[in-house]
Amino acid sequence: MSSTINFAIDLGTTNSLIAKANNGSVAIFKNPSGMKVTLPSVVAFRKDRILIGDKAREYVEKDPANVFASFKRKMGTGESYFIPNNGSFKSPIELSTIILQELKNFIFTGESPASVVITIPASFDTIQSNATKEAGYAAGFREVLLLQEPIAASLAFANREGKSGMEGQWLVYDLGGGTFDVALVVIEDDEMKVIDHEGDNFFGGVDFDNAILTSLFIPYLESRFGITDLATKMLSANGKYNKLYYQLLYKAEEAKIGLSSHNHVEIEFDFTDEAGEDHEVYFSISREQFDAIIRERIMASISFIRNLLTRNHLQPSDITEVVLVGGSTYIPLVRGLLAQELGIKVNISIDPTTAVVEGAAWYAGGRPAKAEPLPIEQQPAIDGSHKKKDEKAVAIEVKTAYQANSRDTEEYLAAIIKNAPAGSNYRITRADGGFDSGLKPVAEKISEMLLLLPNSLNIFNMKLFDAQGFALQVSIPDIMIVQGKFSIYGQPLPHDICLEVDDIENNITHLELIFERNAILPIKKSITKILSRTIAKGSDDQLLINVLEGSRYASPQSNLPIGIVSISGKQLQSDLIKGCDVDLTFEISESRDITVTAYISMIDAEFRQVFNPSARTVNVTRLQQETDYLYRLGKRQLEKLLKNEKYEESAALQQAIKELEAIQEKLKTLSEDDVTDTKYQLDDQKRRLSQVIDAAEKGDRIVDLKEEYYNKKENYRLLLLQTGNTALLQRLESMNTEENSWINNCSTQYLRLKISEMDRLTWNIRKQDISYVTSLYMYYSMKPDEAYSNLSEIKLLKTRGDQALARKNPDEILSIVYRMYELLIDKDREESIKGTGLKG
Amino acid sequence: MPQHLWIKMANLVFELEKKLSTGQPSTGIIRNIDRMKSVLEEAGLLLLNPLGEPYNEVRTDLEASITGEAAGNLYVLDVIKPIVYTQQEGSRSLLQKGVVIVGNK
Repeated sequence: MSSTINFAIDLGTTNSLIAKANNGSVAIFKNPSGMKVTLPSVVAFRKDRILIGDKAREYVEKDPANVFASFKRKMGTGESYFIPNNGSFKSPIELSTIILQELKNFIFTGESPASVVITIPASFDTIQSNATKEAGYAAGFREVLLLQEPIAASLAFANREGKSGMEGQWLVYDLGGGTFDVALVVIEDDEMKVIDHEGDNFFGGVDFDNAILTSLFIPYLESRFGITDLATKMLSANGKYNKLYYQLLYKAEEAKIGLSSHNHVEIEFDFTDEAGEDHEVYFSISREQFDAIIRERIMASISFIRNLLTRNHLQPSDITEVVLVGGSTYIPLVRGLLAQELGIKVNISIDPTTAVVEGAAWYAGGRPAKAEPLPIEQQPAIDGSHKKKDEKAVAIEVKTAYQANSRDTEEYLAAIIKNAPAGSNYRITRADGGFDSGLKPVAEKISEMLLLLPNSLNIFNMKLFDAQGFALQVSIPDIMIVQGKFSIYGQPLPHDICLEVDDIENNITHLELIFERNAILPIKKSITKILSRTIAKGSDDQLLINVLEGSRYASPQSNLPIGIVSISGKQLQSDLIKGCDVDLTFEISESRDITVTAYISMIDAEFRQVFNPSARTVNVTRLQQETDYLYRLGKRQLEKLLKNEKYEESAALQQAIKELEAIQEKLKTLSEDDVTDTKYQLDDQKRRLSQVIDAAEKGDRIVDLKEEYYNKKENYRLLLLQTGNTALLQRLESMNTEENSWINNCSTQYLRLKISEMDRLTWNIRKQDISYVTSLYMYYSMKPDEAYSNLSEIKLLKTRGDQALARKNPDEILSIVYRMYELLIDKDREESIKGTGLKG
Repeated sequence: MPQHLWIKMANLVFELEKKLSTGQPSTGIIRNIDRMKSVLEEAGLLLLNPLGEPYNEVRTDLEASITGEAAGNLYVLDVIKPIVYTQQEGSRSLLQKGVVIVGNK
C-alpha cells in the first residue's frame, strides 16, 4: 500500500485532468483515446449510449437538451437536469461522478486509488465543496481531500522553482478555455491561504477565437467578395456558410496559438463566393492586429485585479508576483499587459494548462493516505455489498460472436450477456483509440457495429459496468478482426524479410528489416536509400538490391536470398553519383511473388523485377563478394585461434576455409548467365559455411562486442542523467525492453550496428556540449599544419576556429572541425568492402 | 526528430496532397508525395484521410464539427487534419484525431 495519497484530479468547468505524484516527480495521465491530457467536462446522453469528453462536446450545440457541460457551476445547487432521451434526471454531482470515473480510466497502470485530492475553485462555499466530495465518493474514492485551485497552482510553481514555498502575497491569474479567475494568495502562520478572489464565468480562450472570426475573417470576406451579413449566414444551421463557420473557427484557434510564438501567421482556406466560384484565400494576421481586438477583454480582466487589490487595501507593489494558469495565458499580450499595467513580475515557469493538477499531485504526494485500497477482487464496491457484488460478477457470462476476417469497413458483433446486474452498461473500445461505443445498456442480447481500420488487425476490448459506473469483474477475451487481408496460404510471413545494406564504418554489410515476421500478406513498403559509392557508366560495377529471408538479427550471408536486382554500369546512360537517392518499393503478393522496384531520381530511371519463390535467384558477382568476405573473415579468425593454440577449435574453421577456396575457384570460371544449377549449389554451400564462420567469430567476438555495447549504453545513460534529458531517458528505457528480443541471438554485424547507434546517440548529446566540442577542436588545431592537405585553408580555419571559440557556438566550432578532418592527410582508413552500393 | 514535428510534417504532406487533388499534378510530384508518405511511415506514422466516410459518434479517431441539423446519416464533408496513428513494435495507437467537418451529403 502507498503511504501517501499521490493521486490528484483537477475537476474543471471546461476540462478535467488526473495526475499522480511518484517519488519526486508528477506524471499526468493521458486519455487512451487521442493521448491528450485533458478530458472535456461534458457528458452526452445520446439515444442509446452515454458519451463522455471529446465526443460529448461535439454535440453541445446540436443536442443541447441531452448534452451537459459547465455543470460545475451548478454544484451544490438543488438543480437537476432533465434528459429527454431517457426521461431521467441527473444532478451536477452525478454528472461530475461520471467525469471522475472516466478520469480513472486514464490510469494505465491498473491502479485503483482509494484516496484522491480534488481541486475546487476558491469561490466554492461549504455546500459546493461537500457536493464535490460527494461526487468523489460516488466515483469510488473512499477518501477525498479538497484543495483550492489557486493553492494547487501555487504549489506547482513553488515546486518547479525549488522553493519551499512562495513569498509574501501573490496573485494566481487563471484564464482558461471559458472561465476566468484571479485569486490573492498569502502564507500566514505557515499556511498558504486564498484571501480573496474575483472571477468571470463567461470569459476565456473561446472569446479570442470568436474575436478573430468576427473582427478579422468576416469583414475581410465581406469586403473582398461583396457578401452581406456573412455572420448570420454562417451561424444559420442550414445556411450555405455553416460549414465555413466551423472551418474558420478552427483556423482562428490555430492562428491564436501561432501568434503566441510568432509575430504573424498565414492562414489559408478555400472559400466559395455567392456565385459558386471557388477561391483560395490567404490571410495574414499580425500580432498587432490580434492584440488590438483582444486588448479590451484583457484590460477588463485587469480591472478585476485592481478591484481585488483595492478591496484588500493593497497596491500592486505589495504583490511579489503573478503566476499564470490556464491555456489562454500563453498569449503574449496577457503576459505583457499584466506586467505593464500592474508592474508586477509575471511567473511563467510552468505549463499553465497542467499547473493545477500538477500542484495538486505534489500536495497529494505529501499527504498520508488514510483509506486502505481494497484487494482487487473486492473493487470497486464501496457500499458494504462486496460479497454480493462478487457473487454477481462471478456468475456473469458473456459470449461473443463475430467474423474474424472482414472485407468491410465495419463488422457486426453479437453478444449474449447473462446474469448481469440490473442497470449495467457495456463499453467496447478499439485498442488503438479509434473507436469507443460509449456506455450502452446491457441486455441479454446485444449487438454493435465495430468500425475497422483498413488492412490491419483490429483489437477490441469489451467491459461491463454496474449501474454506479464501477467495472464488473468479468473476463471477456479480446475481439480480434483482421480487415481486408487474406493470405492464400492462410499464414503470415514465416520469417523476417530484409534488405542487405553496407555498413561502411565497420566495413561489413548488415540486414535492414523490410517486413516483420508474422506480417499479413499482401504487403507493400517503400523506402529511400542512399548510394554508398559512385557507379560509373559502362563499368562492371553493380548496385545490388539483395532481398533476404531469415532473422533480421542474423548475418546477411546466412539468410536465404529470395530476390536480387542488379543494376550494372553497363545498363546506365550516365554515372550514378555517390549520395544520390534510390527509391525502393518492395511488394509481396498473397501468392508470395516478390516485386522489387528501384527508382533513381537522378537519372529518372526505374528498374523492376518480379521474383517468385519457386525460382531462386543467385547473383554470381554477389556470391563472389560474399565468399571473398567470408574467406577473409575465416582466415583472420583462424590466425587468432592458432595464435592462442586452440587447435581443436580451429579444425572446423580450417575445413570451412578450404571449402571456401574451392568455391572461389569454381566461381572464377562461372559466368553470370550460367544456366546450370551450379550457382545454386555454391550458394547453399556458402550459406552453410557462413554459419560455421559466424559461429567461430561470434564465440570469440560476441562477448567483447556485448561488453562494448553495454559500456557505451551506460555512458550514454550517464550522459543523459547529467544533462537531465528525461524524454531521451524514457526512450532509452524502451530500448532496454526491446533489447531482450535480440541480445542473445543476434549476429556480430547486428551488435556492431547497435554499438554504432549508441555512438550516434551519444554524439547527438555531446555535440551540444561546448566544452566537449572545444576539446575536439583543440585536438585538431594542435596538429601541425603539415598534417593537412591544404596549408592556406588550414591556417584560415585555425584563425576562424579561435574566433569561434570565443563565441561559444558548438555548431560553428563543429563545422570547422569537420572541415579540418576532411583536410587531414593521414586518416585512419581501412580497406573498404565492395558491398551492395546501398548505404545502411 | 521529436514526434510532434513528425506530426506537423504529416499535416503538411496531407495539405499538399489535398491541394493537388483538385488539379492534375505531374507524376514526379505524386512520386515525391508518395516518398514523403513513405518517410512518415518509416518514422512510424500512419496517415489516413477520412474524406467521404460515414460519421457517427463512436468514431473517436475524429474530432468533428457538425454542420446542419445533426440528424440522418452524417458524412465527413471536409478534412482539416488527417488521422495519424503511430505504429511501433506491432502495436498501433492514435496520435492525432482527424479534424473534420461532418454533415448530410
